Amino acid sequence: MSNDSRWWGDFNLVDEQLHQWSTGPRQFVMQKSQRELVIWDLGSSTESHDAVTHQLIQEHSIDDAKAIRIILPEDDSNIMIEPSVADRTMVVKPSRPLTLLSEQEVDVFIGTPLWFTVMHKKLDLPLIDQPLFRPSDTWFGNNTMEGAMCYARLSEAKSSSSDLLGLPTRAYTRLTLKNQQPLPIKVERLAVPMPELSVYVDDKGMFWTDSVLVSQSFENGVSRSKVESVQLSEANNTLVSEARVKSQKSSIISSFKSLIG
Amino acid sequence: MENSEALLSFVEKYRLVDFTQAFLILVVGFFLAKAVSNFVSRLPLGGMTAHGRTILRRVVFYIMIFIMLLSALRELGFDLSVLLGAAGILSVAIGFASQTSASNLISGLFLMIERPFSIGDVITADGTTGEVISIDLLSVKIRTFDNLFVRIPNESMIKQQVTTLTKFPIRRFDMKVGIAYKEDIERVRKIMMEVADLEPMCLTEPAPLFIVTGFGSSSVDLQFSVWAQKESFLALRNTMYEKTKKAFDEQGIEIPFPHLSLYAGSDSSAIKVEQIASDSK
Repeated sequence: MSNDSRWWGDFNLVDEQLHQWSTGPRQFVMQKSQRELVIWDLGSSTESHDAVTHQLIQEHSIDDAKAIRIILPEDDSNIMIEPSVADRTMVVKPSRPLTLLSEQEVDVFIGTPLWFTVMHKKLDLPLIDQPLFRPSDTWFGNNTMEGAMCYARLSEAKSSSSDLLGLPTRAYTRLTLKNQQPLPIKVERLAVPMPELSVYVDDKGMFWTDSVLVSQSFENGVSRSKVESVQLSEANNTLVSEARVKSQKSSIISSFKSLIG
Repeated sequence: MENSEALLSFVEKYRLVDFTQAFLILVVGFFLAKAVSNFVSRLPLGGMTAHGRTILRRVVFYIMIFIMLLSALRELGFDLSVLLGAAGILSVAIGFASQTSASNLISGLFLMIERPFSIGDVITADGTTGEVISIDLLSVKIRTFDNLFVRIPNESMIKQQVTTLTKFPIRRFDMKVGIAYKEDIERVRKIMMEVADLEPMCLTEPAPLFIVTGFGSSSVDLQFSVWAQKESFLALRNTMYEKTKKAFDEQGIEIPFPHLSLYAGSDSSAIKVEQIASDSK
Protein backbone atom coordinates (compact mmCIF):
# COMPACT_ATOMS: atom_id res chain seq x y z
CA MET A 1 0.00 0.00 0.00
CA SER A 2 1.30 3.49 -0.82
CA ASN A 3 2.24 5.58 2.16
CA ASP A 4 0.54 8.80 1.12
CA SER A 5 -2.89 9.71 -0.31
CA ARG A 6 -1.84 9.27 -3.89
CA TRP A 7 -4.06 6.99 -5.95
CA TRP A 8 -1.19 5.89 -8.20
CA GLY A 9 2.07 4.09 -7.53
CA ASP A 10 2.83 0.70 -5.96
CA PHE A 11 0.09 -1.10 -4.09
CA ASN A 12 0.23 -4.26 -2.06
CA LEU A 13 -3.00 -6.23 -2.44
CA VAL A 14 -3.63 -8.40 0.57
CA ASP A 15 -5.73 -11.48 -0.22
CA GLU A 16 -9.52 -10.97 -0.02
CA GLN A 17 -9.25 -7.22 0.61
CA LEU A 18 -11.39 -5.01 -1.63
CA HIS A 19 -9.57 -1.97 -3.02
CA GLN A 20 -11.57 0.79 -4.62
CA TRP A 21 -10.38 3.64 -6.82
CA SER A 22 -13.13 6.10 -7.67
CA THR A 23 -13.86 9.52 -9.07
CA GLY A 24 -17.54 10.36 -8.91
CA PRO A 25 -19.53 7.45 -10.35
CA ARG A 26 -16.43 6.04 -12.12
CA GLN A 27 -14.99 3.14 -10.15
CA PHE A 28 -12.38 0.42 -10.27
CA VAL A 29 -12.53 -2.26 -7.61
CA MET A 30 -9.88 -4.97 -7.20
CA GLN A 31 -9.67 -8.08 -5.12
CA LYS A 32 -6.83 -10.56 -5.06
CA SER A 33 -7.11 -14.16 -4.00
CA GLN A 34 -3.78 -15.98 -4.24
CA ARG A 35 -2.91 -15.86 -7.95
CA GLU A 36 -6.31 -14.64 -9.10
CA LEU A 37 -6.99 -10.94 -9.45
CA VAL A 38 -10.55 -9.77 -10.08
CA ILE A 39 -11.10 -6.24 -11.37
CA TRP A 40 -14.54 -4.61 -11.55
CA ASP A 41 -14.74 -1.65 -13.94
CA LEU A 42 -17.77 0.64 -13.64
CA GLY A 43 -17.85 3.28 -16.38
CA SER A 44 -19.66 6.56 -16.49
CA SER A 45 -21.20 8.52 -19.34
CA THR A 46 -20.22 11.84 -17.78
CA GLU A 47 -16.80 13.15 -16.87
CA SER A 48 -16.21 13.49 -13.16
CA HIS A 49 -14.30 16.46 -11.79
CA ASP A 50 -13.76 14.85 -8.38
CA ALA A 51 -10.35 13.77 -7.24
CA VAL A 52 -9.51 10.10 -7.66
CA THR A 53 -9.46 8.42 -4.27
CA HIS A 54 -8.27 5.06 -3.11
CA GLN A 55 -9.75 3.23 -0.13
CA LEU A 56 -10.45 -0.19 1.26
CA ILE A 57 -14.11 -1.17 1.24
CA GLN A 58 -16.14 -4.01 2.69
CA GLU A 59 -18.44 -4.58 -0.26
CA HIS A 60 -19.44 -3.14 -3.60
CA SER A 61 -22.50 -3.14 -5.83
CA ILE A 62 -20.86 -3.46 -9.25
CA ASP A 63 -22.39 -6.14 -11.43
CA ASP A 64 -20.17 -9.20 -11.87
CA ALA A 65 -20.72 -8.88 -15.62
CA LYS A 66 -18.34 -5.93 -15.51
CA ALA A 67 -15.59 -7.98 -13.86
CA ILE A 68 -12.48 -9.45 -15.42
CA ARG A 69 -10.48 -12.23 -13.82
CA ILE A 70 -6.77 -12.41 -14.35
CA ILE A 71 -4.46 -15.22 -13.32
CA LEU A 72 -1.17 -13.66 -12.29
CA PRO A 73 2.13 -15.35 -13.13
CA GLU A 74 2.90 -15.80 -9.47
CA ASP A 75 1.42 -15.14 -6.09
CA ASP A 76 2.79 -11.61 -5.99
CA SER A 77 0.59 -9.06 -4.33
CA ASN A 78 2.33 -5.98 -5.74
CA ILE A 79 0.74 -4.04 -8.58
CA MET A 80 1.47 -0.61 -10.00
CA ILE A 81 -1.16 1.95 -10.88
CA GLU A 82 -0.07 4.48 -13.49
CA PRO A 83 -1.96 7.56 -14.66
CA SER A 84 -1.44 7.45 -18.42
CA VAL A 85 -2.73 9.40 -21.37
CA ALA A 86 -4.80 8.34 -24.34
CA ASP A 87 -3.72 5.36 -26.41
CA ARG A 88 -4.56 7.19 -29.65
CA THR A 89 -4.02 10.65 -31.08
CA MET A 90 -6.41 13.19 -29.58
CA VAL A 91 -8.02 15.58 -32.07
CA VAL A 92 -8.62 18.73 -30.10
CA LYS A 93 -11.12 21.22 -31.40
CA PRO A 94 -10.87 24.69 -29.83
CA SER A 95 -14.32 25.85 -28.77
CA ARG A 96 -13.50 29.06 -30.62
CA PRO A 97 -11.18 28.78 -33.65
CA LEU A 98 -7.88 30.46 -33.17
CA THR A 99 -6.24 32.66 -35.81
CA LEU A 100 -2.48 32.82 -35.75
CA LEU A 101 -0.86 35.58 -37.75
CA SER A 102 2.18 35.11 -39.93
CA GLU A 103 5.49 34.52 -38.10
CA GLN A 104 3.69 34.36 -34.76
CA GLU A 105 3.69 31.71 -32.10
CA VAL A 106 1.43 31.06 -29.16
CA ASP A 107 1.17 28.60 -26.31
CA VAL A 108 -2.21 27.02 -25.66
CA PHE A 109 -3.09 24.56 -22.95
CA ILE A 110 -5.44 21.62 -23.32
CA GLY A 111 -6.67 19.06 -20.84
CA THR A 112 -7.32 15.44 -21.81
CA PRO A 113 -8.72 12.57 -19.73
CA LEU A 114 -6.29 10.38 -17.82
CA TRP A 115 -6.14 6.65 -18.29
CA PHE A 116 -6.13 4.25 -15.34
CA THR A 117 -3.40 1.69 -16.07
CA VAL A 118 -2.67 -1.30 -13.86
CA MET A 119 0.70 -2.99 -14.32
CA HIS A 120 2.33 -6.10 -12.88
CA LYS A 121 6.12 -6.28 -12.76
CA LYS A 122 6.22 -9.69 -14.43
CA LEU A 123 4.09 -8.65 -17.38
CA ASP A 124 4.93 -6.26 -20.21
CA LEU A 125 1.34 -5.43 -21.04
CA PRO A 126 -1.02 -3.73 -18.59
CA LEU A 127 -3.65 -5.77 -16.74
CA ILE A 128 -6.21 -3.10 -17.51
CA ASP A 129 -5.86 0.20 -19.33
CA GLN A 130 -9.07 2.20 -19.23
CA PRO A 131 -9.89 5.91 -19.40
CA LEU A 132 -11.34 7.73 -16.43
CA PHE A 133 -13.65 9.24 -19.02
CA ARG A 134 -14.05 7.72 -22.48
CA PRO A 135 -13.74 10.41 -25.17
CA SER A 136 -15.67 10.05 -28.38
CA ASP A 137 -14.09 8.38 -31.40
CA THR A 138 -13.31 10.49 -34.40
CA TRP A 139 -11.72 10.09 -37.80
CA PHE A 140 -8.78 12.22 -38.81
CA GLY A 141 -7.79 12.24 -42.45
CA ASN A 142 -8.18 13.90 -45.81
CA ASN A 143 -11.07 11.63 -46.73
CA THR A 144 -13.06 8.70 -45.40
CA MET A 145 -10.76 6.19 -47.05
CA GLU A 146 -7.38 7.13 -45.60
CA GLY A 147 -6.66 8.46 -42.17
CA ALA A 148 -6.53 7.34 -38.58
CA MET A 149 -8.96 6.62 -35.79
CA CYS A 150 -8.49 9.14 -32.99
CA TYR A 151 -10.29 10.50 -29.98
CA ALA A 152 -12.14 13.80 -30.12
CA ARG A 153 -11.94 16.54 -27.56
CA LEU A 154 -13.58 19.93 -27.40
CA SER A 155 -11.32 22.30 -25.53
CA GLU A 156 -11.18 25.95 -24.61
CA ALA A 157 -7.47 25.84 -25.53
CA LYS A 158 -6.53 28.47 -22.96
CA SER A 159 -3.55 30.65 -23.65
CA SER A 160 -2.60 31.00 -19.99
CA SER A 161 -1.82 28.17 -17.59
CA SER A 162 -3.23 30.19 -14.70
CA ASP A 163 -6.70 29.93 -16.28
CA LEU A 164 -6.64 26.16 -16.22
CA LEU A 165 -9.15 24.41 -13.99
CA GLY A 166 -6.50 21.95 -12.88
CA LEU A 167 -8.93 19.01 -12.74
CA PRO A 168 -7.51 15.92 -11.04
CA THR A 169 -8.84 13.57 -13.72
CA ARG A 170 -7.06 15.30 -16.58
CA ALA A 171 -3.55 15.67 -17.89
CA TYR A 172 -2.62 19.09 -19.26
CA THR A 173 -0.48 19.65 -22.32
CA ARG A 174 1.22 22.79 -23.49
CA LEU A 175 0.93 23.17 -27.26
CA THR A 176 3.26 25.67 -28.88
CA LEU A 177 1.85 26.72 -32.23
CA LYS A 178 4.21 28.39 -34.70
CA ASN A 179 3.06 29.91 -37.94
CA GLN A 180 6.03 30.14 -40.27
CA GLN A 181 3.90 30.85 -43.29
CA PRO A 182 3.41 34.22 -44.99
CA LEU A 183 -0.35 34.05 -44.38
CA PRO A 184 -2.38 33.77 -41.18
CA ILE A 185 -3.71 30.34 -40.30
CA LYS A 186 -6.96 29.46 -38.66
CA VAL A 187 -6.59 26.68 -36.12
CA GLU A 188 -9.79 24.66 -36.19
CA ARG A 189 -8.46 21.40 -34.83
CA LEU A 190 -5.19 19.90 -33.69
CA ALA A 191 -4.06 16.30 -33.72
CA VAL A 192 -2.04 15.81 -30.54
CA PRO A 193 0.09 12.62 -30.49
CA MET A 194 -0.88 11.58 -26.96
CA PRO A 195 0.78 8.09 -27.05
CA GLU A 196 4.15 9.81 -27.51
CA LEU A 197 3.82 11.90 -24.36
CA SER A 198 4.99 10.99 -20.87
CA VAL A 199 2.96 12.01 -17.82
CA TYR A 200 4.28 13.99 -14.87
CA VAL A 201 2.82 15.35 -11.66
CA ASP A 202 3.84 18.75 -10.37
CA ASP A 203 4.27 19.81 -6.77
CA LYS A 204 0.58 20.88 -6.64
CA GLY A 205 -0.61 17.43 -7.69
CA MET A 206 -1.58 18.51 -11.19
CA PHE A 207 -0.83 16.17 -14.06
CA TRP A 208 1.15 17.38 -17.05
CA THR A 209 2.45 15.77 -20.19
CA ASP A 210 5.42 16.53 -22.35
CA SER A 211 4.87 19.65 -24.43
CA VAL A 212 4.07 19.57 -28.12
CA LEU A 213 5.50 21.89 -30.73
CA VAL A 214 3.44 22.33 -33.90
CA SER A 215 5.06 24.28 -36.74
CA GLN A 216 3.25 25.21 -39.88
CA SER A 217 5.53 26.15 -42.77
CA PHE A 218 5.22 26.75 -46.48
CA GLU A 219 7.77 24.90 -48.64
CA ASN A 220 7.80 24.67 -52.41
CA GLY A 221 4.21 25.78 -52.64
CA VAL A 222 3.01 23.14 -50.19
CA SER A 223 1.81 23.74 -46.69
CA ARG A 224 3.52 21.37 -44.21
CA SER A 225 2.95 20.63 -40.57
CA LYS A 226 5.63 19.41 -38.23
CA VAL A 227 4.68 17.97 -34.87
CA GLU A 228 7.19 17.03 -32.22
CA SER A 229 7.08 16.38 -28.52
CA VAL A 230 9.30 18.32 -26.16
CA GLN A 231 10.25 16.72 -22.89
CA LEU A 232 8.94 18.51 -19.86
CA SER A 233 11.46 19.84 -17.41
CA GLU A 234 11.72 17.59 -14.38
CA ALA A 235 12.65 20.49 -12.11
CA ASN A 236 9.25 20.68 -10.40
CA ASN A 237 7.71 17.64 -12.05
CA THR A 238 7.89 13.96 -11.22
CA LEU A 239 7.56 11.39 -13.97
CA VAL A 240 4.63 9.04 -13.27
CA SER A 241 4.36 7.16 -16.55
CA GLU A 242 6.46 6.84 -19.66
CA ALA A 243 5.15 7.54 -23.14
CA ARG A 244 3.28 4.61 -24.66
CA VAL A 245 5.39 4.79 -27.82
CA LYS A 246 8.75 6.33 -28.51
CA SER A 247 8.25 9.38 -30.66
CA GLN A 248 9.58 9.34 -34.18
CA LYS A 249 11.71 12.47 -34.03
CA SER A 250 10.59 15.44 -36.07
CA SER A 251 8.12 13.40 -38.05
CA ILE A 252 6.89 15.46 -40.93
CA ILE A 253 3.30 14.57 -41.50
CA SER A 254 1.65 15.19 -44.80
CA SER A 255 -0.02 18.50 -45.41
CA PHE A 256 -3.45 17.92 -43.92
CA LYS A 257 -5.10 21.22 -44.54
CA SER A 258 -7.45 20.47 -41.73
CA LEU A 259 -4.67 19.90 -39.18
CA ILE A 260 -4.15 23.59 -38.84
CA GLY A 261 -6.22 26.08 -40.78
CA MET B 1 27.43 -66.97 -62.07
CA GLU B 2 24.48 -68.29 -64.02
CA ASN B 3 22.13 -66.68 -61.49
CA SER B 4 23.85 -63.31 -61.89
CA GLU B 5 23.62 -63.48 -65.64
CA ALA B 6 19.97 -64.48 -65.40
CA LEU B 7 19.32 -61.57 -63.09
CA LEU B 8 21.12 -59.12 -65.37
CA SER B 9 19.24 -60.33 -68.40
CA PHE B 10 15.97 -60.03 -66.45
CA VAL B 11 16.78 -56.45 -65.50
CA GLU B 12 17.72 -55.58 -69.07
CA LYS B 13 14.67 -57.26 -70.52
CA TYR B 14 12.24 -55.33 -68.36
CA ARG B 15 14.39 -52.16 -68.25
CA LEU B 16 14.20 -52.13 -64.50
CA VAL B 17 17.06 -49.65 -64.28
CA ASP B 18 15.17 -47.14 -66.40
CA PHE B 19 11.98 -47.61 -64.42
CA THR B 20 13.85 -47.26 -61.16
CA GLN B 21 15.54 -44.08 -62.37
CA ALA B 22 12.24 -42.64 -63.55
CA PHE B 23 10.60 -43.53 -60.24
CA LEU B 24 13.43 -41.94 -58.29
CA ILE B 25 13.19 -38.79 -60.42
CA LEU B 26 9.48 -38.56 -59.66
CA VAL B 27 9.85 -39.17 -55.93
CA VAL B 28 12.83 -36.85 -55.47
CA GLY B 29 11.20 -34.35 -57.79
CA PHE B 30 8.00 -34.38 -55.74
CA PHE B 31 9.78 -33.54 -52.49
CA LEU B 32 12.04 -31.05 -54.22
CA ALA B 33 9.02 -29.32 -55.79
CA LYS B 34 7.34 -29.16 -52.37
CA ALA B 35 10.43 -27.70 -50.73
CA VAL B 36 11.14 -25.14 -53.45
CA SER B 37 7.51 -24.01 -53.72
CA ASN B 38 7.26 -23.58 -49.94
CA PHE B 39 10.54 -21.67 -49.89
CA VAL B 40 9.46 -19.35 -52.72
CA SER B 41 6.12 -18.62 -51.06
CA ARG B 42 7.90 -17.58 -47.86
CA LEU B 43 10.24 -15.13 -49.57
CA PRO B 44 9.80 -11.50 -48.43
CA LEU B 45 7.92 -10.37 -51.50
CA GLY B 46 6.63 -6.99 -50.37
CA GLY B 47 2.90 -6.40 -50.75
CA MET B 48 2.00 -9.93 -51.77
CA THR B 49 -1.20 -11.10 -50.15
CA ALA B 50 -1.79 -14.55 -48.64
CA HIS B 51 -3.83 -15.42 -51.69
CA GLY B 52 -0.99 -14.40 -54.01
CA ARG B 53 1.50 -16.52 -52.09
CA THR B 54 -0.80 -19.55 -52.38
CA ILE B 55 -1.07 -19.07 -56.13
CA LEU B 56 2.71 -18.64 -56.46
CA ARG B 57 3.37 -21.78 -54.41
CA ARG B 58 1.01 -23.83 -56.55
CA VAL B 59 2.39 -22.50 -59.84
CA VAL B 60 6.00 -23.26 -58.83
CA PHE B 61 5.02 -26.70 -57.56
CA TYR B 62 3.14 -27.76 -60.69
CA ILE B 63 5.82 -26.40 -63.04
CA MET B 64 8.47 -28.43 -61.22
CA ILE B 65 6.29 -31.54 -61.19
CA PHE B 66 5.74 -31.12 -64.93
CA ILE B 67 9.50 -30.82 -65.55
CA MET B 68 10.16 -33.91 -63.42
CA LEU B 69 7.45 -35.80 -65.29
CA LEU B 70 9.04 -34.94 -68.64
CA SER B 71 12.46 -36.06 -67.31
CA ALA B 72 10.98 -39.33 -66.10
CA LEU B 73 9.29 -39.95 -69.45
CA ARG B 74 12.54 -39.22 -71.27
CA GLU B 75 14.31 -41.65 -69.00
CA LEU B 76 11.79 -44.27 -69.97
CA GLY B 77 12.64 -43.62 -73.61
CA PHE B 78 9.57 -41.71 -74.72
CA ASP B 79 10.03 -39.37 -77.67
CA LEU B 80 8.93 -36.03 -76.25
CA SER B 81 8.37 -34.42 -79.65
CA VAL B 82 5.57 -36.92 -80.25
CA LEU B 83 4.16 -36.12 -76.86
CA LEU B 84 4.28 -32.40 -77.60
CA GLY B 85 2.38 -32.97 -80.79
CA ALA B 86 -0.23 -35.00 -78.97
CA ALA B 87 -0.38 -32.34 -76.28
CA GLY B 88 -1.14 -29.72 -78.90
CA ILE B 89 -4.12 -31.69 -80.19
CA LEU B 90 -5.21 -32.54 -76.67
CA SER B 91 -5.07 -28.93 -75.56
CA VAL B 92 -7.48 -27.91 -78.29
CA ALA B 93 -9.90 -30.61 -77.20
CA ILE B 94 -9.49 -29.71 -73.54
CA GLY B 95 -9.88 -26.04 -74.38
CA PHE B 96 -13.28 -26.59 -75.92
CA ALA B 97 -14.39 -28.78 -73.06
CA SER B 98 -13.16 -26.50 -70.29
CA GLN B 99 -14.15 -23.05 -71.50
CA THR B 100 -15.95 -22.26 -68.28
CA SER B 101 -13.10 -23.50 -66.10
CA ALA B 102 -10.58 -21.56 -68.18
CA SER B 103 -12.74 -18.47 -67.89
CA ASN B 104 -12.91 -18.94 -64.11
CA LEU B 105 -9.15 -19.43 -63.98
CA ILE B 106 -8.41 -16.27 -65.94
CA SER B 107 -11.01 -14.36 -63.92
CA GLY B 108 -9.23 -15.57 -60.78
CA LEU B 109 -5.96 -14.13 -62.06
CA PHE B 110 -7.64 -10.81 -62.75
CA LEU B 111 -9.18 -10.82 -59.26
CA MET B 112 -5.73 -11.42 -57.85
CA ILE B 113 -4.25 -8.52 -59.80
CA GLU B 114 -7.12 -6.11 -59.16
CA ARG B 115 -7.66 -7.07 -55.51
CA PRO B 116 -11.13 -5.65 -54.94
CA PHE B 117 -11.30 -7.64 -51.70
CA SER B 118 -9.09 -9.89 -49.56
CA ILE B 119 -9.52 -12.89 -47.32
CA GLY B 120 -11.37 -11.73 -44.22
CA ASP B 121 -13.32 -8.97 -45.96
CA VAL B 122 -17.11 -8.98 -45.85
CA ILE B 123 -18.61 -8.75 -49.33
CA THR B 124 -22.00 -8.83 -50.99
CA ALA B 125 -22.02 -10.68 -54.30
CA ASP B 126 -24.85 -12.27 -56.20
CA GLY B 127 -27.23 -11.45 -53.37
CA THR B 128 -25.05 -13.19 -50.79
CA THR B 129 -23.34 -11.38 -47.94
CA GLY B 130 -20.57 -13.02 -45.99
CA GLU B 131 -16.93 -13.21 -45.07
CA VAL B 132 -14.40 -14.23 -47.72
CA ILE B 133 -12.64 -17.36 -46.47
CA SER B 134 -10.64 -18.20 -49.58
CA ILE B 135 -9.93 -16.88 -53.06
CA ASP B 136 -9.06 -19.90 -55.19
CA LEU B 137 -8.19 -20.44 -58.84
CA LEU B 138 -11.73 -21.16 -59.94
CA SER B 139 -13.95 -19.69 -57.27
CA VAL B 140 -14.31 -17.55 -54.19
CA LYS B 141 -15.57 -19.15 -51.01
CA ILE B 142 -17.75 -17.19 -48.63
CA ARG B 143 -19.03 -17.95 -45.16
CA THR B 144 -22.40 -16.28 -44.55
CA PHE B 145 -23.32 -14.92 -41.15
CA ASP B 146 -25.64 -17.85 -40.54
CA ASN B 147 -22.65 -20.10 -41.22
CA LEU B 148 -23.48 -21.31 -44.70
CA PHE B 149 -20.73 -22.09 -47.19
CA VAL B 150 -21.18 -20.37 -50.55
CA ARG B 151 -19.01 -20.94 -53.61
CA ILE B 152 -19.11 -18.22 -56.23
CA PRO B 153 -17.30 -18.85 -59.55
CA ASN B 154 -14.65 -16.26 -60.34
CA GLU B 155 -16.30 -15.56 -63.68
CA SER B 156 -19.42 -14.39 -61.81
CA MET B 157 -17.32 -12.21 -59.55
CA ILE B 158 -15.76 -10.44 -62.53
CA LYS B 159 -19.04 -10.00 -64.37
CA GLN B 160 -21.22 -8.64 -61.58
CA GLN B 161 -21.15 -5.89 -58.97
CA VAL B 162 -19.36 -6.88 -55.81
CA THR B 163 -19.66 -4.68 -52.75
CA THR B 164 -16.85 -4.90 -50.21
CA LEU B 165 -18.39 -3.78 -46.94
CA THR B 166 -15.10 -3.73 -45.01
CA LYS B 167 -12.80 -2.07 -47.53
CA PHE B 168 -12.55 1.25 -45.70
CA PRO B 169 -11.90 1.72 -41.98
CA ILE B 170 -15.10 3.68 -41.27
CA ARG B 171 -18.67 3.25 -42.38
CA ARG B 172 -21.84 5.30 -42.28
CA PHE B 173 -25.08 4.08 -40.77
CA ASP B 174 -28.26 5.67 -42.14
CA MET B 175 -31.06 5.48 -39.62
CA LYS B 176 -34.50 6.12 -41.03
CA VAL B 177 -37.12 7.35 -38.62
CA GLY B 178 -40.49 9.03 -38.93
CA ILE B 179 -41.91 11.55 -36.49
CA ALA B 180 -45.45 12.80 -36.08
CA TYR B 181 -46.37 15.91 -38.03
CA LYS B 182 -47.05 17.79 -34.82
CA GLU B 183 -43.40 17.49 -33.70
CA ASP B 184 -40.86 20.31 -33.96
CA ILE B 185 -38.23 19.15 -36.45
CA GLU B 186 -35.51 21.39 -34.99
CA ARG B 187 -36.15 20.02 -31.50
CA VAL B 188 -35.93 16.45 -32.82
CA ARG B 189 -32.67 17.34 -34.58
CA LYS B 190 -31.17 18.56 -31.30
CA ILE B 191 -32.30 15.44 -29.46
CA MET B 192 -30.78 13.14 -32.05
CA MET B 193 -27.54 15.09 -32.19
CA GLU B 194 -27.27 14.80 -28.43
CA VAL B 195 -27.82 11.04 -28.63
CA ALA B 196 -24.96 10.82 -31.16
CA ASP B 197 -22.77 13.12 -29.10
CA LEU B 198 -23.15 10.98 -25.97
CA GLU B 199 -22.38 7.75 -27.79
CA PRO B 200 -18.58 7.19 -27.83
CA MET B 201 -18.73 4.77 -30.77
CA CYS B 202 -20.33 7.43 -32.94
CA LEU B 203 -17.56 9.38 -34.65
CA THR B 204 -17.38 13.11 -34.01
CA GLU B 205 -15.98 13.50 -37.49
CA PRO B 206 -17.28 12.98 -40.05
CA ALA B 207 -20.11 14.75 -38.27
CA PRO B 208 -23.57 13.18 -38.02
CA LEU B 209 -26.00 14.20 -40.71
CA PHE B 210 -29.65 15.08 -40.15
CA ILE B 211 -31.83 15.12 -43.27
CA VAL B 212 -35.56 15.55 -43.73
CA THR B 213 -36.19 13.13 -46.56
CA GLY B 214 -39.81 13.98 -47.12
CA PHE B 215 -43.37 14.29 -45.90
CA GLY B 216 -44.73 10.76 -45.70
CA SER B 217 -48.35 9.71 -45.62
CA SER B 218 -48.28 9.21 -41.85
CA SER B 219 -45.10 10.93 -40.68
CA VAL B 220 -42.33 13.39 -41.40
CA ASP B 221 -39.56 11.15 -42.67
CA LEU B 222 -36.04 11.74 -41.44
CA GLN B 223 -32.65 10.23 -42.05
CA PHE B 224 -30.01 10.47 -39.34
CA SER B 225 -26.59 9.32 -40.55
CA VAL B 226 -23.75 8.55 -38.18
CA TRP B 227 -20.27 7.19 -38.79
CA ALA B 228 -18.51 4.40 -36.93
CA GLN B 229 -15.44 2.22 -37.18
CA LYS B 230 -16.26 -0.78 -39.33
CA GLU B 231 -15.65 -3.08 -36.35
CA SER B 232 -18.24 -1.21 -34.26
CA PHE B 233 -20.78 -0.77 -37.04
CA LEU B 234 -23.25 -3.44 -35.92
CA ALA B 235 -23.00 -2.47 -32.27
CA LEU B 236 -23.55 1.19 -33.12
CA ARG B 237 -26.54 0.38 -35.30
CA ASN B 238 -28.31 -1.39 -32.46
CA THR B 239 -27.31 1.21 -29.92
CA MET B 240 -28.54 4.13 -32.01
CA TYR B 241 -31.99 2.58 -32.45
CA GLU B 242 -32.27 1.85 -28.74
CA LYS B 243 -31.00 5.21 -27.55
CA THR B 244 -33.06 7.16 -30.07
CA LYS B 245 -36.22 5.37 -28.99
CA LYS B 246 -35.37 5.98 -25.35
CA ALA B 247 -34.63 9.67 -25.96
CA PHE B 248 -37.87 10.08 -27.92
CA ASP B 249 -39.86 8.42 -25.14
CA GLU B 250 -38.26 10.66 -22.51
CA GLN B 251 -38.89 13.79 -24.56
CA GLY B 252 -42.40 12.80 -25.63
CA ILE B 253 -41.57 12.61 -29.36
CA GLU B 254 -44.10 10.47 -31.19
CA ILE B 255 -43.05 7.89 -33.79
CA PRO B 256 -46.38 7.35 -35.49
CA PHE B 257 -47.56 4.08 -36.93
CA PRO B 258 -49.35 4.25 -40.29
CA HIS B 259 -52.80 5.78 -39.87
CA LEU B 260 -55.57 7.21 -42.02
CA SER B 261 -57.88 10.16 -41.33
CA LEU B 262 -61.29 10.30 -43.04
CA TYR B 263 -62.79 13.62 -44.16
CA ALA B 264 -66.21 14.25 -45.70
CA GLY B 265 -64.98 17.28 -47.56
CA SER B 266 -62.18 19.82 -47.45
CA ASP B 267 -64.01 21.98 -44.90
CA SER B 268 -65.00 19.19 -42.55
CA SER B 269 -62.98 17.90 -39.61
CA ALA B 270 -61.82 14.31 -39.45
CA ILE B 271 -64.63 11.82 -39.09
CA LYS B 272 -64.52 10.22 -35.70
CA VAL B 273 -64.43 6.44 -35.71
CA GLU B 274 -65.23 4.71 -32.45
CA GLN B 275 -66.42 1.31 -31.39
CA ILE B 276 -69.85 1.17 -29.80
CA ALA B 277 -71.23 -1.64 -27.67
CA SER B 278 -73.29 -4.10 -29.66
CA ASP B 279 -76.67 -5.16 -28.25
CA SER B 280 -76.89 -8.91 -28.46
CA LYS B 281 -80.31 -10.55 -28.02
